Amino acid sequence: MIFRATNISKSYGKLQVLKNVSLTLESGQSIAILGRSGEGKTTLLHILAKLEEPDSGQIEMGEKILSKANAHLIRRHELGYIFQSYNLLEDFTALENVLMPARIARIPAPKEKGLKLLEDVGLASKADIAAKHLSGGERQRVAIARARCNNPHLILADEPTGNLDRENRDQVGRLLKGLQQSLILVTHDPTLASLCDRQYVLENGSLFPLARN
Amino acid sequence: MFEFGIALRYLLPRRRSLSTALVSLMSVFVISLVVWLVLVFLSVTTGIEKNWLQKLTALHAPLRISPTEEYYQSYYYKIDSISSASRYTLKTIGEKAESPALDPYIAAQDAEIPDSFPLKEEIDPVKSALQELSNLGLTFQDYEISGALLRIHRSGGLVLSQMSYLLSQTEKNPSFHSLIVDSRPIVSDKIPIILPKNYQKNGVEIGDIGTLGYSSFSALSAQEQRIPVIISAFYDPGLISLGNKCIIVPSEITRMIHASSQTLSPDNTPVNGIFVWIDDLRKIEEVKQRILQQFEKANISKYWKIDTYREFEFSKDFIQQFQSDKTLFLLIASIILLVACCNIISLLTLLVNEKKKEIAILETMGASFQSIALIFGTCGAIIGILSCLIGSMLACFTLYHLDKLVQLLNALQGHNAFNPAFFGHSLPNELSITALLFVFILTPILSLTAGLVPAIKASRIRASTALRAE
Repeated sequence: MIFRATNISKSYGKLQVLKNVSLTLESGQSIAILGRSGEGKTTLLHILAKLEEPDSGQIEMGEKILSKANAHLIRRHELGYIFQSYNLLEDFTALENVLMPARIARIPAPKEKGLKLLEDVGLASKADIAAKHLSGGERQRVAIARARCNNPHLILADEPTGNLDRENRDQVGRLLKGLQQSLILVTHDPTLASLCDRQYVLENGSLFPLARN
Repeated sequence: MFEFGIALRYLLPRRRSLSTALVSLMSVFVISLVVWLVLVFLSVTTGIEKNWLQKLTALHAPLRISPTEEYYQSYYYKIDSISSASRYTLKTIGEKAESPALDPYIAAQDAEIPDSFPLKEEIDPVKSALQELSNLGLTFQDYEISGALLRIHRSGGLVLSQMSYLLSQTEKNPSFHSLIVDSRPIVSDKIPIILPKNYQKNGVEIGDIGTLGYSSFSALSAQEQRIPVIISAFYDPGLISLGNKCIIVPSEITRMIHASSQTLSPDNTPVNGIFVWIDDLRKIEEVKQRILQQFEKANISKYWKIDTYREFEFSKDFIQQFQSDKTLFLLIASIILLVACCNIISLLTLLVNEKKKEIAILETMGASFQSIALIFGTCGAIIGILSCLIGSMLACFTLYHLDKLVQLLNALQGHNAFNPAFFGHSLPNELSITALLFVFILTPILSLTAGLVPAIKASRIRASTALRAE
């Protein structure tokens, strides 16, 4: 087991978004979470990355239990995050964006490492271009390279193809499929979800395997 | 350190962050201006203070040891007045130092000691004091001040006369030669005297002759005595209030007049004492304490009062006022600097609001709250340091061209902006290290402190909320 979330619940006022959600992931496994808008998929991912506190429940990464004190360390070394809206640092180049997690973690970040990661997503030639000058598809590919920078155990991807055209969706899908890391993918796109080992649906705050739905 | 790199990047002015860029430039401009002002003002005033102190302590040594009332009431001092060996005359410190006998009183030939006379002590306060000063390796010399009427005979039968104070010449004064503005070797049987330079401006020349007149009192009458003198040099009296009436004469003259009539010092400077010179005025208090300790050990401390230039009657108020002015300016400068640094709070708050999303992104990558706070704290410190550098460069430039600036001010006002009597012919333009330290320590601290408020605000941004807002 590389990752386990147990009985995660979350409410905003009277609205209960997550009800005792549990999830287990083995090394190298990928799961997709489908669901309608507003069902709490992003909230779940934020909670899994400890960007948001659950009302109850526990998250374990390997032997460690995620807490406020160690959350930033876990995010540095063991988690990668991919957003629907890319969320690159706009004024920084593609290479600087890719190497940023290493600089934050204060681990050596040679240029070659960044170029290799960009090469893996087909963007080595755009290493010195500011993120703001890249297209949507290119930005998302930079975001994937960035998520892999510190070689995390788990990558969380929140609607990574939500803003992309078909061609870029396919390209991003292939890149996600080829990841060595475990993956939790939140998406509307059944095709993208089908690339994962397991599929779940988040509905009325509970998580169901797709087969049951 | 990634925090530093990001802070630098955030501070670069960008077209799409025009308001932030403008506030950032304004902050740098205002702080630089204050730094410039502080450096120029403090450098010039420090230079002026240094010059004034140099002048104040050139004629009158920086440390003065004068007899206390206890000395004047002691058997040691009073006994000369009833001793035939002392010609029934009270002695100056110099004369006491040269006197071979501790007690000149001879019972067989002198009148009986009155009952009211103080008790005799087997101690020589003058010789002991001089010995202790010598043991401390200090440069010192006794001095006397007397009064006399100076008459200078000018060509055409013209006589200039002026009541003057006579200060005994202190050959051991290391700064004495720096005071002399004009001199010429004189061969004459008359007593050479040195006049303040204002006499020269009034037409007196080296080689002019005259007299010093004083009254010699006997039991029933007073008789005027005249000592023939010749002008041998002129000196710069500096800022001493009585400088223009103070004539430097050989110590025999002051002793002679002192023996005949007591002189009242007009500015409360003791008329007899010991001058002590030191190289570094900053060590003045330390030297004073060492002398005090030595005098206490020698059991003569009750006979002597030790004053530094900060306590001299003629300069105390002046130096204190100058210090007060400097302190007041420093206080005002600190407040202005504080206000200028508060601009940084506005700037960084704007920046934090603008960069909320990026802060959230950094948090998802594992940046800690401390790192986020450090980014914005560093922004504040960078602005402070940058402003310091710009302000310092401007200050150096201004100080380098200070004379031209003064000329411009003179031209604008139509008269001297800075009176040469007080400020000299040119303002000092040496950059004050103390002022530089003041701005280079205070400004980054204030900037960093100002950066803390937005830094804390930034560190409290919740990534989840900020990312959803996008």
